[in-house]
Amino acid sequence: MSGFYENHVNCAVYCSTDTISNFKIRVKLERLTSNALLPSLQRLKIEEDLSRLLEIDDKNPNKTKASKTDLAQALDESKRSDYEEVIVGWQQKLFNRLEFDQYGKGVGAESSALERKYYDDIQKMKMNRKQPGRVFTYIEGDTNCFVKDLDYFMTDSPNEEPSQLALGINNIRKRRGGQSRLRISEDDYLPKANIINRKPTPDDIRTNHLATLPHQTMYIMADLSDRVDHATAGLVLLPQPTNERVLCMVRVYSNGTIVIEPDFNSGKMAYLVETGNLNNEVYHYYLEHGSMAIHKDDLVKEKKLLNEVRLRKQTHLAQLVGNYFEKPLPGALRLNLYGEIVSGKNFEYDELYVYYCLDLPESWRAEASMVFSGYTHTATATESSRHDDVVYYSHPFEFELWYVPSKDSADRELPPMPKIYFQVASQDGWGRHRAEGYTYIDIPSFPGFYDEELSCWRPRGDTIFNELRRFFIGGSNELEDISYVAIPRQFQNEKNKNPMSRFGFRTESTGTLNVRLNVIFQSEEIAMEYGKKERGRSKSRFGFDAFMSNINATLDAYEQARRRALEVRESTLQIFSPQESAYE
Amino acid sequence: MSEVHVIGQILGASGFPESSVFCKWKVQMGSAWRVLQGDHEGQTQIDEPSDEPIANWCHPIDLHFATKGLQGWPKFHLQVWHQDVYGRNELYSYGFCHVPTSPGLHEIDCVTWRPKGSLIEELKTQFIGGSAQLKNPDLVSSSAELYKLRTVSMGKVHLRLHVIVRNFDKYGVEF
Repeated sequence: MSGFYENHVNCAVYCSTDTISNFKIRVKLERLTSNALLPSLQRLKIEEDLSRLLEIDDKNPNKTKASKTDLAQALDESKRSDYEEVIVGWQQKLFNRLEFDQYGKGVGAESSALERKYYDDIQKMKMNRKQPGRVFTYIEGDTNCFVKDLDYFMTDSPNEEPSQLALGINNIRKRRGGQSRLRISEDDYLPKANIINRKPTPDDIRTNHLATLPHQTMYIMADLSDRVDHATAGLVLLPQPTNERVLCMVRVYSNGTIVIEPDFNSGKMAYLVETGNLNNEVYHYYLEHGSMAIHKDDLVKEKKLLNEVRLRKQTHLAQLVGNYFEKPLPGALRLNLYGEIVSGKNFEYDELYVYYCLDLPESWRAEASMVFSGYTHTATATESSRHDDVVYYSHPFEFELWYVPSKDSADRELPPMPKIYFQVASQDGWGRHRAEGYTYIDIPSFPGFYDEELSCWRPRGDTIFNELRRFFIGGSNELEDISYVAIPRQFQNEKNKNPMSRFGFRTESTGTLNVRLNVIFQSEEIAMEYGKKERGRSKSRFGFDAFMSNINATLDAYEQARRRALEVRESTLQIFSPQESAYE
Repeated sequence: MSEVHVIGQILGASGFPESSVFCKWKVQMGSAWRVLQGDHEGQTQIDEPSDEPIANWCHPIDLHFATKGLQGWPKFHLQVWHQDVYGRNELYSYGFCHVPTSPGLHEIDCVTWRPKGSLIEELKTQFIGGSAQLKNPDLVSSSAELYKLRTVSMGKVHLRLHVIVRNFDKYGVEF
């Protein structure tokens, strides 16, 4: 947005979905003299100050109509100072002097359709006694438009060569705006057949290699050569050097983008262009948007229609989605775990399988139909990893658990999380079965995505005899109670004062197990917490804290609702049951 | 009801013995889920890298789910196939992987395996190609029957997924 006083030659990009044939530009060109019709910068400034002062004095500036004498004077002026005002439509051809003479000479047998058309237009102009003015245009398809060279050269170096890319892009002049590559509708991602084009034409190759849209260009030019009055000059006319300047370049792309360079300058300073002749004259010009504006009623109707279409799409989608969502009972936290045993690495033998099992502590519940444990398939190592022996499982498992804290537990006690135990074992072709490792993981107490590497160990006997047996015939020491991996159940139940001791238990470290977990929490209390912080909503996750702090509130609310329901039931029963006292 | 968007791509695969591979993928979900927009299954193109052992597909995934509950979170079923110079297609491996539940960007390597036959069959696989296939690939991911299988680990399929969730906080769900 240039200021009032700036006159940078700038480029503007507009977007419009209306048909381009309605686009019109008004060009006002005038030679700059002291009594020019177009307001100069000074005059504009004076007028603005004047209107401001008058408004302060609370007087309306009088706008007098132009009287007849004023108009005649103005026309007279325009002849002297070369004032020209033209409304140019899209791809409207206006001839300059040279073209007028050249095309007006006549048509021959080998003239193209364009030349014929131009000849007809010129004949019409001659019939109406119209002469070409200073403002003319070059449109798509004009052969002698030198201005196209401006497309290729960006710097003022005389040795600049246009690159292949510039040549290619400037060569794309297709009119067909709806190429299948560009207009991809919602339902139509790819063509189902004939994805490959085996014989592309050079045009196809150009369009596909160079990412640009088909576009058309038009140049509005000014012919600033000296006017020779043919009537007065009886001398032989010397050929005048052409002095054509670009006033404005308009480029329209097939997706409705309009690029105008320079931009409209109707309220700002005029653009200047100098002739560079002996008598160096300065011309200034204004570019104004001259298309017919849309009628206000039509605009309102169009906006309403578009809004309706959008609203309909939204409601359609919202209807598909619906409003129902499964919720757990108040006072319970539901935990969904989606996990997978991904892979195992660096175990001693091959052909390994994993046994996993879930252990629930107190106050955790699960449905009876849920699967608590399972076995993976027996996997052999992959050849893709050179340094490690990796076995791939990609074995998914899922658990759905409920945490229901008992009423007498401490109010803010963090719950003990369930554990998943893993046992890795191998079974080879000879039927030798060996325990390869044990490990476990706590289900994380915070929801999210976890990618864990769990290190495993296996029990080793006290003597070398066990190892020998394991090597030759298979069979190794295994844990009787898999919960020994974490906190043995015996220890939990005994509740003696001694600390847990595994002293004397010999193990050997084996490989690692890669497990991925996705943990999701759901509860009414968390919904309440989200509801509370409506204003300053941060992205923090609440977890158990929110659950525990709101649990009393929800339980009370639940109790209240239940009590109210019971009361209503009582009262309706009283109304409907017969009351003998009424009849007495 | 809440919505989940999964936007991303199947980047490619690595670690397979031969490199002209393609992938047939499918997203399976529970009965509470519904696909609103996007294809939930598809097949990538065959990539034949000339120098490096990684096949690049960059196959776009753009899915929009609506769900009534948390069970049956969608998961990917992948089958990696190989096309050799004679134009024969043979199954290389199977892979399963959950769509991550927490919103954000996830780069996941889904590992794959194929069923292993007897010694003679393995020799055949080595020379002629082709291996035993699962009778019912869909059932296998439910994990109750898998212990009967013996497998050989193959390569990895790389996925890059963005997960966007909507309207879950109203129902008290936390990721």
